[in-house]
Amino acid sequence: MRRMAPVLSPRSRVGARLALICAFLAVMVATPWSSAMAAEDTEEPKASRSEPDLAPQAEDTDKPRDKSLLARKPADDAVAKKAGEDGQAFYEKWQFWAITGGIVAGGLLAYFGGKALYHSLNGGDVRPCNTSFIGCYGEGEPK
Amino acid sequence: MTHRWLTLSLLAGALALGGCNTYHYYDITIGFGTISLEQAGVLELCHLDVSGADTHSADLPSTFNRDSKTVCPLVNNWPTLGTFEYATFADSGSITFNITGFKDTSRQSDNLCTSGSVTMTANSEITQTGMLTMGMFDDNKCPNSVVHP
Repeated sequence: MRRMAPVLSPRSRVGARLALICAFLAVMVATPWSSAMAAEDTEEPKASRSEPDLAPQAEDTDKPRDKSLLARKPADDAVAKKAGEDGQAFYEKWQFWAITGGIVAGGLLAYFGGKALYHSLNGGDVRPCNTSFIGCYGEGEPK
Repeated sequence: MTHRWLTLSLLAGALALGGCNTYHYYDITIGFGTISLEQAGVLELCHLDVSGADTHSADLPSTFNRDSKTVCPLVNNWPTLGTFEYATFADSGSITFNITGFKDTSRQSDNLCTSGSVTMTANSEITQTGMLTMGMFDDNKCPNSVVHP
């Protein structure tokens, strides 16, 4: 005959679960390496730990003996040149002035050329007045 | 190919437009005809009117207008008053030149002594010459003040 398990009431079961949860939480808080303890970690850094190099970079006294490390390389020149070009203002570039000059020259040429063409298409200049004439009148003559 | 047609079209257009405005000149000589020197000496102002294919109005050079030279009143310009040139773009129709002579600087009919006109045919010719002869002189309106001995 099988032994019967003790029958617990529903209230007793809830209480047992709550007790288990509380016990788990107590273990977590009490454990030093748990995340709960890390939040309150007041442990001083160990003296044996190596100190980081906090010397300012400007006071860096490290002088490499291999001078080839300090020598400029072709790639450095290319980078510097590219950086110099990119750093120029637009009005410092020759392309800007070339284009601007072209536009201005083209505009002037179009203006004066168009004016001359218009004048030519409208008959151009009247011929000079013969000095032996008593006067010249009509189109193109001074009023 | 497209560019060639465009260039040719522009050139043709320019030539066509250029042909529209070509100067044509009319050199007209004014003669006094039967008007005597004494009668012509009365004139103080001569005026040009152009009508027809073109219109214009101007005084001939005169001391009244403070011009650098003068033809009315006369200055050794008899029996031919002189030649004037008229420029116009007109190349068709007729163009009439009318000259009026006044005894005073005000151009009123009471002062009108003589007039003459000539009509020319406008065409493609660049320069045309013509002769304009003044008509009858009105002695009543413009009596000769010169007293002959």
